[in-house]
Order: sequence, then structure tokens, then C-alpha cells
Amino acid sequence: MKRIIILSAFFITLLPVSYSQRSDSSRVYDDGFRTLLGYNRSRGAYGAFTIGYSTIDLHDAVQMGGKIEWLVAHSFGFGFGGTGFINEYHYDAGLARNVFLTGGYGGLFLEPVLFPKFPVHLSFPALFGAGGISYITKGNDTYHNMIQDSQAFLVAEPSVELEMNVTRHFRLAFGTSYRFITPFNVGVSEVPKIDSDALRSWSYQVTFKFGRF
Amino acid sequence: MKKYLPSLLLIVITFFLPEKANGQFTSRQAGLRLGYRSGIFYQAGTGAGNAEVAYNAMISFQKNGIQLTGMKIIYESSFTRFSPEVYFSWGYGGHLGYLYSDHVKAMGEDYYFNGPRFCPLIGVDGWLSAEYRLHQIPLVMSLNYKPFIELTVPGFIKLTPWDFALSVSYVF
Repeated sequence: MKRIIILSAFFITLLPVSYSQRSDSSRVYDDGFRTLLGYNRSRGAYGAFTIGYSTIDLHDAVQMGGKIEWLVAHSFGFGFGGTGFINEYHYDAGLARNVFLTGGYGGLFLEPVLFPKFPVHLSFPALFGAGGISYITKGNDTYHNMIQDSQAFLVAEPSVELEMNVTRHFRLAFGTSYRFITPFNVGVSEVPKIDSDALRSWSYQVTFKFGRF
Repeated sequence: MKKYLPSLLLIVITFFLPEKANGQFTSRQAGLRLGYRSGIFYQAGTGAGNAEVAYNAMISFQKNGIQLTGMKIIYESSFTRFSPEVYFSWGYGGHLGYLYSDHVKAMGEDYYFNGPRFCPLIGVDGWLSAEYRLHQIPLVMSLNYKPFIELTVPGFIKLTPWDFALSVSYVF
């Protein structure tokens, strides 16, 4: 019993001493709040660009995007970015010309990363933002892309990525995501309009990330 | 009002910001950026441990519009071992503004409206630069790289990884 009391007293005495061993910078911020990630957390940042494939309105689509994120404790990223898309043009008999859809969306990225120090690990980026989609016709004589109609929407796009630490400052990620879109109707009056189901689809992408992780 | 907006913004950047920041910043420069997205910029910096942190505000005029860019730039002083006049920096930031045009460019294609149209835009920017500081005269020259991604209303994403430029600025 006496030993327990002595040991407890020793550790209670040691506790403030151990706090005083912290660096100056951490003491400045130690205002009594206890946080899940701690005070001596590491910080990093990276920029990334993405190329991907999806189906939009049942046609093959290419998408490209980019983002900038800040990383806390190697394991949680937040930042801003966006994705653009364009689907394969196809002949519309009702309009007697080629048509396609294009657009983009952007917003806030939140990205939890599991086991970031492992050479191969998982991350779960999610985008919350807004965007727009345009219905384009190809001019029969000029071949200009004419914007016939545009609509805005809100989007949430959760993803899962298998990420590889290729070098200390370069990561390669293969991922898939799904777009949740608020309702819209885009098109021209001569043919049935395209609704938001056209964009509610899976995407598959490769992401190249450069920065301090 | 649109006609006077650029002049008004320039007055604010040139006169108001330095006064407000007078006590905090140890270096200031103003100059021209000539490249893919050219513009006039003002930059104020201060020491931060082993590094130097600067805040850069740039105004550009593309396609009859105005774009305002704000960047945080970090100069890693450890790189000066290559040469005392050369500084490498990295940074990040964002921009917003508008353009007034009959077409927008996105995903490598031009898209045409029926006529000129007001299109607000917003984007995020990265920054890398190699800066040469002339100590004899108060001039700084830099080769910089500012990749950006931009969302233009009504919904076009422009990914520009090739925004290289040469900047010249006067230090005061």
C-alpha cells in the first residue's frame, strides 16, 4: 500500500515536470484544451491532379481535376479543389447534330487517411461543393461548341483510394467515387431534357499527389 | 461601376494595405508578373523562424474581367546555400473574380455563348518560384510557377498546370 502511495506521488510530481519538457511552441498553445490529435502534431500540405473515367448520361466520360490540401498529423487532410468532366459526343436525331454534356464541380475536400506511414494504405477523400453542367451542341458548319443550356447543382462525392508512398514527396492513388447530385434538368426544348440521374454514377480515377506529407 | 472597379482595387492594394500592415511586415515589393496569367502584384513579408513568410496579392485582367489572387508564400532560407541572392519559395492560395466574354475555355475546348456574358470564377493556386534578389539595386526577379484549378460559372473547370511566368518587382 505504502509503495502504491509513493509511486502515485512520484508520478503526480513527475507530470508537471514532463509538461515542462515540451518545446516553447507547444507551451504557447497549451491553454488547457485537450485535443484528439495533440499539440505536437505534424503538418503538411500537398497539391494533386486527377484523371479519371466515368459514365455520364450512359456515355463514356473523361474527367480531370485538382486540389490543394493541408494535412494534420499525417492522417487528416482538408482543402479545396474541383473536377471537370466531358462526355463523348453523339448524334442526336431530334436536333440533327452532335451533342454532349460538359461541366464541373468544386468545393471542400475532407480526407481521412488510414495508416499513412505504410507504403500502401487507404484514404477516404470526400468532396462537398457545387457545380454546373452544360448541354453543348456542335455547329454543323463552324464546329463551334455552342452552350445551349446550363444548370447548377450541389454535390457530395465520397471516395475510397488505395494510396502508395512512391517517394517521400510523391504519392500515387487509385480510387473510385460516387456522385450524389441535387436535382436538375438540362437540355433544349426540342428533345427530352436530361435529368440529374445522368451524373449520379461511379467514377474511377488516378491521382498524383505532390507535397509534404 | 465596373469601369472604375480596377482603379478602385489598385488604390486599395497600393495605399491601404501597406498602411494597415506597416507594423507587421519587414519587406515589401510591388511588381509585374508576365506569363500565362499576367498581373500587377503587391507582396509583404516577414521572418518566421528559419523561413520568411510573405503574402502576395495580385490583380489580373483577363477576358475583359478582373481576377484577384491571394497567396501565402514561404521562403525556405536553407536553400540560400546555393547562392546568397537566390531564394526558392513555395506557397498556396486562391483567387476569385469574373470574366466578360462570349466564350470560356475548359477541358481543352472553347465553349461559346450566344453573346458576351458575365461569368464569375473561383479557384485555388499553388506556387513555386526561384527568386533572384539584386542587392545593389532594389529589384527582384523571379521565375515562378503557379498551377491553378478554376471553376467558372455556369460550371466549367479549368485545370492549368502550365502557368509559368517571369516577375519583376521593386523592393521598398
